Amino acid sequence: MSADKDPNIARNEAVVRAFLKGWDDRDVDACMGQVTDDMCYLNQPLKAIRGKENVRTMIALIFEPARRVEFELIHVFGHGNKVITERLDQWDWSGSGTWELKLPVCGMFELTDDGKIYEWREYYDNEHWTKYGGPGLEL
Amino acid sequence: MSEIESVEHNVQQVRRFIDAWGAIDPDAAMACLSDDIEYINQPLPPVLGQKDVRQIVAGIMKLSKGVHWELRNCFGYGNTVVTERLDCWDFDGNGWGLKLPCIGMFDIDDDGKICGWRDYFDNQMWFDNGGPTLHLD
Repeated sequence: MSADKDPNIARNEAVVRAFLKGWDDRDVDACMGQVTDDMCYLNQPLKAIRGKENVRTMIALIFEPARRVEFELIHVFGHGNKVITERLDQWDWSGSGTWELKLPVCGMFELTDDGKIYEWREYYDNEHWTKYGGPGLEL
Repeated sequence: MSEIESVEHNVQQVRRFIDAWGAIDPDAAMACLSDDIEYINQPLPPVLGQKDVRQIVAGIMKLSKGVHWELRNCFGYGNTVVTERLDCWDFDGNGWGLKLPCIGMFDIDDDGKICGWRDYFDNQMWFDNGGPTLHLD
C-alpha cells in the first residue's frame, strides 16, 4: 500500500509469501529455502518442533497425504522483524476436487536480519484440523 | 490523519478493549465495538451485533474472577490490528487455571470502532479448562 514501506519489512513479507507458496506447490525444498537451521515451528498448543531437519520431516509428512493445497491469504503484513498472516488453508486430501478441509488460521513469523524465518507460531483449532483429515502434527 | 496516525489510533482502540477485559468491565469493552460488530471465534459461527456480542462478552466476564491478557505482539496495518496474546483466566478464584495462546485480528471502521474481531485458538484447550460457551443457544 505505502510506497515508503520499510524495505526490510517488504522483504520479510516476500519471504513469508514464498514460504507459503511452497505449501501451495507442496514443495518442501522451496519452504526450507526460507528458514534458518535452528528454526522453531510451533503449532499451538502442541509441542514445538525445533531444527530445520525436524521441520522438514514434519512438513513432508503433512504434504504426503495431500493432493491439492491452497492457502488463501486474508492479511499479510509486517512490523519490525515479524510478519502476521491471517489465512484460510484449504486442503484436498483425496483428489475429490473440493476443499475437504478449510482451516481458519493465523501464523506469526519472526525473521532474522538477513531475512530467514527462525520462528513460526500457528494458531488454529486443532480439532478442526484433525476432524477433517489433517495428519498428526507431532514427530 | 496520516496513515501512521490512523494505525496508531487503531492500535490504541484495541489496547483499550483488552484493558476492559483485564478490568472485567463489559460496558467499557462494548464501547470499543461498533453497532454491527462481527465476532468470530474460529472456527465457530460468527456472533453479530452489539446485543448478541454483549451477551457473550458479559457472560464470559460474569464467570471470570480474574482476567489478564498478556500482549505479546500488537501492531497494525491499514484498518487491521493483530494481537498475539496469552490469555490468562481465573474462573474459580484459585489463580490462572487457563493460559490460552491466542491471536486476535481486529478490523477498525472509519469511526474508530472495532467492527471485526476474529480470535484464533484451540477450542479444546478453552473448553477443557473451564472456558464457558462461545455461542448463543
